[in-house]
This record gives sequence, structure tokens and C-alpha cells, in this order.
Amino acid sequence: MQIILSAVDFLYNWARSNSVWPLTFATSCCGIEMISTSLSKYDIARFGSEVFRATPRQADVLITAGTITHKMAPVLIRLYEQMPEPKYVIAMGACTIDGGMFEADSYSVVRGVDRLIPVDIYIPGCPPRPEALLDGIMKLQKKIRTESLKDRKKFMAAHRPFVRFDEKSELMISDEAEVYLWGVSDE
Amino acid sequence: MFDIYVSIFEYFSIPRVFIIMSWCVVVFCFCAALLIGSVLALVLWERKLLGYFTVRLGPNRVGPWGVLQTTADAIKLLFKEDIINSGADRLLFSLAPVIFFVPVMAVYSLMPFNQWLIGVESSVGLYLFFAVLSVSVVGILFAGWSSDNKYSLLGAVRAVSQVISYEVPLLLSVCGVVLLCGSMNPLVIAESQSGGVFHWNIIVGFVSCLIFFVCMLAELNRCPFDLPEAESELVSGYNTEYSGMKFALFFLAEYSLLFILSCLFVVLFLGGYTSIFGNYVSFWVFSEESFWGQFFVFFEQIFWMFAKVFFVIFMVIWIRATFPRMKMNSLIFFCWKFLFPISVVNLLLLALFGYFAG
Amino acid sequence: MNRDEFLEITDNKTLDASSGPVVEVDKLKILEVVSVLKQEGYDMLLCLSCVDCSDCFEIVYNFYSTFKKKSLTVKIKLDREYPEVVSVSSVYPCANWYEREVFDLFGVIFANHPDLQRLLMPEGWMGYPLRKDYAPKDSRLRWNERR
Repeated sequence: MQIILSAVDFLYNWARSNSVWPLTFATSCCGIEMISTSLSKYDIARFGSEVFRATPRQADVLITAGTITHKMAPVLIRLYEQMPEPKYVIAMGACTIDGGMFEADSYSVVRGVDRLIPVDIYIPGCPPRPEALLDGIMKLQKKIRTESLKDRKKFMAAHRPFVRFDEKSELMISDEAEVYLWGVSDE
Repeated sequence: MFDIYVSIFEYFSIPRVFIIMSWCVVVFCFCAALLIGSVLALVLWERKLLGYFTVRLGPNRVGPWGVLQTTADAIKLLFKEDIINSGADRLLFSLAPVIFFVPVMAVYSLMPFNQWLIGVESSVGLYLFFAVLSVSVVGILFAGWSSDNKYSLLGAVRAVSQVISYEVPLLLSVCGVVLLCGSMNPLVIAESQSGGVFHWNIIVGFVSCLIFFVCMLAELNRCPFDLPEAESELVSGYNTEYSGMKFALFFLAEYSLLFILSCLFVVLFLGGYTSIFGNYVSFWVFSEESFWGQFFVFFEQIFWMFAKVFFVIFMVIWIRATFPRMKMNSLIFFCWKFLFPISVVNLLLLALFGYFAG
Repeated sequence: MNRDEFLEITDNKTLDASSGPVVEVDKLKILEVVSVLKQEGYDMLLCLSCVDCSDCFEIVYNFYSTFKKKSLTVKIKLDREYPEVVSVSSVYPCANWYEREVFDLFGVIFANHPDLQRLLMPEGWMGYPLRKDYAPKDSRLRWNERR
């Protein structure tokens, strides 16, 4: 059984890693770098990722290219939840890793997109060069090749956003997220 | 091919009902294999060509020259999670890609790839082709309506209005060809153009050819008529809410429709499977009555057919790489106020030409 | 201040490097001053912004006349505790969004404004961020604090 599963795993991972379709989510300056990665000098089509899908239902990876503000956060979470499994997130640029240049004093920037959704790959840079984005995508391909078909159920439970927004965009935070972010829960 | 098949069965004296039932299965298998093969090649061909037109390489990591890219895409789409909206009409949502795809596959059996390789040969083959193909429009409408998404509905309505508007000049230009050849049987139309380039229908029916090409682009929702799937306007149109295998069916159906409409274009205007030179190369090397001549002409006709089809597809992709998108109102204006009168006048002129030129 | 005094100030003063003369006006008279300016040919309100001096708010109006090619700046001082002033969006309609932005970020209330609500910050935000004494006291935002 293990031999059959490992052969199927190889095919499963090979297919998924060579056909990673990003969602066009370009908020800010890193978006320009993402666009220039898809043009002729640093071609992202060589890796099979040239089809940037406009709808999250058909996308595999959400490359958060740009600063995420408080107003954008519910939108990002809604898009993340609409993507079908198996899905990945690449946090591109300093603003999405921990707030970047806005980390010190900004009133409106979410300090790191991993406070909102689970992230797989971080790409530092402000903005990262297109070669850095291609390097990040190659690392994502390597990560995909280590997965297994048996772990799908684990992913479907783990890929939940950390904060939730209700209808009026009021923040509601889950208890696990509270422990994860602060180490203590609300008494 | 059907009569050879019948004669094999009669040699073993098997009742006729089994012949008909098993012939359907044979044709289905052949069409399915051809469809999958053609779509695999076509998706990759389009991505590579678009890359070369924009001074970049297309997919080249996956196999040698990227040939396994579409396979990877297809397997990935197979393993994606299947999401249906909570407000969506479940039956229609699941049925829509099927309704869109099945007529496209069905018309593969009406195309002659060879003098003998035609699935269903009937004297009204062309009529049947368009009748069956018009059913796929309903699939788009189901997809947009059942998605519970106003942008999907808008995209579906635009797509349907575009497709049914452009069917009218399409059919009128095909009527012109039927007038010239005198039959609706695709085999007869292809045979009437044998004898080299100057016997092709593109020489006499040049206007019909152009109108057919433009309407073919509109039927396929391709650039410059691809407003229904325009990203900046409608977030992918009627297939916004489709993920996984259902989306793969839409994707597959679009590219297989491209292939089969190009085949029809080749049969109607570019001489089908007949060769560019006067007679076939096999008949020049071997002679017409010898066994080797007949054997090689079988493959040579397939070669000519596919060469011409890929030339037409190259033109379609070239146009996609070159032109921007048309607006919806100018699209419909162009159809009804420009193409439709021209196609009617063209039909009249072709009828007069056919009458006086005998 | 009547019309002639005002014209003397605006037309005879030599131009500054970029933004023309700066005039300080009493906040109760701003609406009639702005109406006079519109009639005098200052047809563009380039910007309406706010400065937080530690003891008061200063609203700055930048005008430009496309006929005379002249710029003018008008300033108003407002009370720090209860900053209120009349809206000029009845005279210059583009002031609508400028005043919404100032309300959003500083908390200045514009009377007679057609639609005074937050523009840049999300709805339901507590506090006015660009004030000098702004510190986020909203406990709903604890998840976003610096680590």
C-alpha cells in the first residue's frame, strides 16, 4: 500500500508543483515587481505560473504583494477562504512579513500578513527583486514536493484564518489565535 | 470507414444491431483520444506562442520544451477541492460544464480527417454540425445563472448574446460555400476542392472566408471578442465560481471547440485533407492503383489536414497576441450592422456567380 | 473685513515662491470670504488640509485662479477641544471629500456638510489618527500590536 501511495504522491506533487497558479493580488509596490516578473525579462511562465487567475476559485497560491491595511484585511481573509484546497500563501515584501517600514508607528497597517492567514513562504525585500520572487516560487515548489496525499485532511483543518470578521467588519478573534499571538488567553 | 467495418462484421455474420452499437463506441473512443490529444497540444502551443510573440519563453521547465505542462495542469485541477456556493443551484451548477462540453465532443464525429476517417457521414453533415453545436450556449447560461454571483450572470448574458449574434453571419457564410459546392456533406465539400491551391473555396469565397474567420473568433470567446472572460471587467465571467474539475471541463471545451472549428474552416475553405499540390505526393512517388500508394495516401491526407489546422490555429493565436479587446456595444454593432449585411450581399453574389459560371 | 480690504491684500501682495499670499481669517467669517473668492475668479480649491498645532487646529485652504494665474492660501484657527467650522462644500463642491478626510483624521466637525463620515479609515474606527496625542486605545486592535 505504501508503495502505491508513494508513487501516487510523486505524481500528485509533481503535477501540483509544476502548475502553481497565482491570484492577482497586487496591493502596492510589490505588485509592480510581481507584474514585472511575469513579463519578458524574468519570465514566470517558464514555471507554469503565467496564468494569473482573477478569481480565487481557480487559484493555487495567494502572493500577497503589497501592504495590507486594516480596511483591506477582511477582503484578504475573504479571498483566502474562497480559495479551494490545496492552497498556499507567499508573503512577498517587507510589509507583509512584519509591517516593514510601517512597523514602528503606523495606525493603519497590519503588521505582517501572518497575523491574518497562515503563510508558507516569506520573501524579504522592499520590494524584492523579480529573481527573489522566482526563488520564492521555486522554494514553494520544493515544499509542495514534500507533501503527501494523506496529509490533506490536516491541511484543510490548518488552513483557517487567525482572525475573523463578522458582517460589519468587527474583529472577532478565536481563542487559539489569542494564545498563539499573545501567549495568554482572555480572562 | 463504416463500410469496411460493416463488411468485417458481415464476414463473421454478426447481426447488424451489434455493428451499430459497437461502431458508436469505436467512434467515441477515437474522438475522445483525439480531443484530449489536441487539447493537450493546443494549450501548450498557445502558451508557447504567446510567449514567443511577447519576447519571452513559454513553459519550458516541465518536460522537454514544456510538453508535459498541460498534463501537470490537468492532474492538478483533478485534485483540487470542489466548491459549490451555498446559494447556488446545485443541479444546474454541476450540469452546466457538461452541457457546454458534450456538444463539442459530439461534433468531432462529423469531421473528415481523411477520406475514410469520418465518424458519421451524412448528406446533411454541416447542418447537423451547427445544430448540435448551438446547444452548448445553454451551458454558458446555466453556468452564469446558477453561480449566485451577479458578475457571473452578467458575463454569461454577454457571452450568450455574443455567441448567438455571431452565429447568423457564420451560417450565412457557410451557406455561400454550400452553394459553391452543391452539398452539405463535408466529404463532398473537401473532394470538390481537390486539385491544388487554386481550386480551394478561399479563392472564390474570399469574403465568406473572412466572415467565417471573424465569426469563429466570436463563437470561441477569443480575442478580440473575449469580453465574457475579461479579467478587468468581469473577474473571469461565467466561470468565476468554478474550481477543480468543472473548471477543467470548461477549459477543455473551449480549446477543443477551437480545434474543431478550425477543422471546419479547413474543410470548408482550405480544401480539407487534399494536398496543396495538384495530386498527392504518395501518388507521385508510388502510383495511384498500387497498394503502397493507397497506404501512404491515408497518412498523407491526415498530415495535410493537421498541417492546415495548425496553420489556422497559429493565425488565431497570433490575433490573440496582437489585438486589444472590443467593447460590448461595438461588438454587437459590428455584428448586426456590418457583418450581417455583408454576408447577405455576399450570399447573393455567390448565388449569381454560381448560376452564371455553371 | 470687507471686500475691498480683502482685494487689496490679495492682489497687491507680491507673490511668494510657490503658493501666493497667506491670509489669516476669523473662523466665523470663512463662508462669506470663500463666496467672495469664488466670485473674484478663484475657481479652484486645490486643497483643504489641517495642521495640528499643539494648542489649536489650523485649517488651510489653497485656492488658485485659472484666469489670473494666481494662488492664495487662507488659514483658520480652531479650538482644540471642540473643533467646529462651517463647511464650504456649498461653494466649492470638491471640498466634500477634503472635509471628510479632515474629519476622519483629525475630528474636525464641519457644519452643513452633506455627508460627514469616515473616508480613509475603516468604519467603526475609534479615535482620530493624525492628532498629535493619538494612541490606539482600541482593545479590538490588540492583535496588531508590535511584538
